[in-house]
Amino acid sequence: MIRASDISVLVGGKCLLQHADISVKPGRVTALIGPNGAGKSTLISVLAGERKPDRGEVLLDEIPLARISPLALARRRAVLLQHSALDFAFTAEEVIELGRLPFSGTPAQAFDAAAIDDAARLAGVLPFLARSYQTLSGGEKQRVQFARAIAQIWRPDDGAESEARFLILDEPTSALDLRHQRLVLDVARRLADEGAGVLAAIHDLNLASAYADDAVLLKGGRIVASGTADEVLTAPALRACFDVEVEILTRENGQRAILV
Amino acid sequence: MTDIAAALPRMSRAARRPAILGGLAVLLAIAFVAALSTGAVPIPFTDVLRALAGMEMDSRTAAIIQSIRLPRALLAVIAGMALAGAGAAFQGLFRNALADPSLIGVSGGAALGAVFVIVLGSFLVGILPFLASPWLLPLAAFAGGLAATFAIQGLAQLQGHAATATLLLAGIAINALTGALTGLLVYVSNDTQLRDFTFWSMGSLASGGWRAVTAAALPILLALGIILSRARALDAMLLGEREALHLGVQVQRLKHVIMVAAALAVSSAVAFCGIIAFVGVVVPHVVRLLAGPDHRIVLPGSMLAGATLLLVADSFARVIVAPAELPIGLVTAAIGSPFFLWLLIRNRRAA
Amino acid sequence: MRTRTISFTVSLAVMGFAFAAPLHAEGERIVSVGGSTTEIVYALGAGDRLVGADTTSIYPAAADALPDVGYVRQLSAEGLLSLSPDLILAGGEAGPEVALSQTEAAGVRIVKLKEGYTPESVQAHIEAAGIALSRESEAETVNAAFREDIAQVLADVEKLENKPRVLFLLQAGRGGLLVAGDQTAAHAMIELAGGENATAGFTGYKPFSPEAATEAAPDILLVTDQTVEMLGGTEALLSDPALAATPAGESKRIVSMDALYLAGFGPRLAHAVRDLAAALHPEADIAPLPARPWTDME
Repeated sequence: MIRASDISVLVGGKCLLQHADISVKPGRVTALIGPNGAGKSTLISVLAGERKPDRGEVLLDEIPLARISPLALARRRAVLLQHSALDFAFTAEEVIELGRLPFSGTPAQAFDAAAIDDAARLAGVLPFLARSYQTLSGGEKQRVQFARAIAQIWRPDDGAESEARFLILDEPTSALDLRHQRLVLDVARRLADEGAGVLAAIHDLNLASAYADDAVLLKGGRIVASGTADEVLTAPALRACFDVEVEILTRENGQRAILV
Repeated sequence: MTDIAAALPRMSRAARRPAILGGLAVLLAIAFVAALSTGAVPIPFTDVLRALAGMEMDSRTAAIIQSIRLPRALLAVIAGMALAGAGAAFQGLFRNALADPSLIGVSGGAALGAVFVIVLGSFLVGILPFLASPWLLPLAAFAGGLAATFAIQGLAQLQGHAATATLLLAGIAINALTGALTGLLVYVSNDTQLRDFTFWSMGSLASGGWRAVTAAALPILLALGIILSRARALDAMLLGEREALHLGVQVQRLKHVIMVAAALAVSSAVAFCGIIAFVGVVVPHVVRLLAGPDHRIVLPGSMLAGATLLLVADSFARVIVAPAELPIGLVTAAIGSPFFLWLLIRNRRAA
Repeated sequence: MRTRTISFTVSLAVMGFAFAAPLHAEGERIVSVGGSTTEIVYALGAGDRLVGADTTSIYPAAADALPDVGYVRQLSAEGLLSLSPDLILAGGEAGPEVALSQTEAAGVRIVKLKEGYTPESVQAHIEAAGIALSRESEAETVNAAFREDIAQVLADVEKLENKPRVLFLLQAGRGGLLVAGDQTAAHAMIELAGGENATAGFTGYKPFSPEAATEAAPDILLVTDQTVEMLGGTEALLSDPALAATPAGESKRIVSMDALYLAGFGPRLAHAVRDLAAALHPEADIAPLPARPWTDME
């Protein structure tokens, strides 16, 4: 489990995060929700171990992140960032192959080919694996990067007990059309079902409600609500968080639709 | 599990790696033998081989091959490897195909060191006679290159971590400073000193005696070994600094290591050869066009191709105006500039 | 200017009988480095043994047609060796050191003359070259004539009453104009010819500054023909307001001489000093020197 407690981040006298508590649990998809500028990306960079908080601490299985080397961390969790600019003519496959970098020189290197193959299939990028990354569309690029993150936390399906893996996604669906938004979150859901802990910053409230087990609402650097998705994604909470009128419809099969 | 037949065409670029490196190595070997066989003095090819094998032959031919052409060709090889290898590593580190170690002041600092010795050397030796040595100039150029790099790194570090933008700005500032000091020294230099510095800044492998080769080889091979060992980390850097960090790369440490290693390699080459333009930018780019941006091939490929280019350029430099010779920097720039312009235009169109 | 094809043909022709050449001194193949060094070789009658010279060797005309081994400080070991010389006679400024030592290691005799800007150093150069070329008696003949000539000129200069202030200006490539301080050939020439260097007091060449020129207050501007050519005429020199305002500028007194003749410190030194002295002192009657074989070469 990745657990952050009492996180505060200050930049130039401005408080980007205040006393934030959040945890990413194995086997669950946690949605991070909030308006622009709420501090989602800051929180993600703290949880990913990229940024040291000014106050508070992030623990991975009760060990402070600060005491874990970048390499050891990379073997446990993958991060997909919002914008990835790549100006060099790697093929899509070579980009995905880089996801296996933390395992070079380890026994897990033996699984590289399988991991790349599986990740490419899951992300739906098999048809253009050999193409130059630079020639891909924005959505295709995003899925290639997604496949890279999957390859990084890929494990052989041999039933052996191993430490939980984590996948941190910052707006993974932003450049994608409807079908591929579903595809990406389906894969995230599936990885969680296989035991991974997934944290995803999601703009679309309906997608969040459809895929997330847990949800965290962030506003102005503060966590205003957290808990299971059903508890958090309520009309009053969303209204308070986004300052807009929200209506929630529930179908007979339990599916909910959030109208803004 | 992976179907081998399906995987084959996808792996083609990786599979081509040994072939490409092998091809470049063969080219280098041909260029090396060609460099040994060309020169102002016509020597039959069989005599070149006999001299290399240490067989009995007339002493003048043996001296030309063994003490002039061979160390000079070896200096071309290690200097070419250093310039192109360091250039390739730099472009990866800064994720910019046009980056060059001169960005962090290596050439500017080395030039300042060189002009300092050329203009004030006799004055210095007058006060401190123990300084009188043919090694004074290469040492000063070497020290100047490293000092400028450390100054720039130090400035960029003031913020706690070396942000690329700060690093480049510090580079511009230090380059302007070394440029101004160099200009000042050039301004007060006399005619001979000015000619000496002009020739130095156009590059030459004429100092390539055995002592120069051995002195340059050690730091260059050490630095290139370090650079080669960071190939995959540089690949990750191409994705972005944050992405590299999330892939387990210690980004700050990588920056330090690559910058120091590249500065070490380039300073050593510049110390003995002067400024040789374009090898560091053009060669890695050609290798990338040929084999893709994977540093496992770009780094060794650039080193092989850089060595080949310098051997060929020096062979030209030695015979075009024989019995005099052209500065090698002119030859590489003559080949490099049109290519560089084409590269700029092409990049501009792509952007 | 010299053409590449000619020197190439010469060097190829020369290579043809390189190995047939007898090895005693008269047949020695010589490469000369340095303008005045080359002049000495010709003065000693050994010009026909030259197989190559550097770019600064432009007098006599025959020297200019020899295969060019490059700039005096940018020699190439193999380039030198390709001319199969038995002897390289090098002026003090020849370099780089590595090229010379590599050439020497390949079995070529190298005689390096010491740098110097005095009549004595010229005689020493001629003597050393005479020994190197096994032309001691010719060297003594040249030196005897030189001693006679220089003694006559210096005696004439001695009698002069006034010492005009002379400002030497040199165009050095893009670097702008330079003026000469102590320990320069130009300074030494001005002193020998009975002038006073208007910018003495520092060592070497310094960039020209308009204010310093005003303060130097020269009576005469001394330039080389090459500088005048580069500037495009003496008028260009006087278009500088600072120079135009000096006494020399007002009276338009500009003396221009060939650079190698003026500052070469070769066997023509005595004649150069005489010509300069005559130009600096038009009022005085300085007797011309008798023409010598080495001052009158084509």
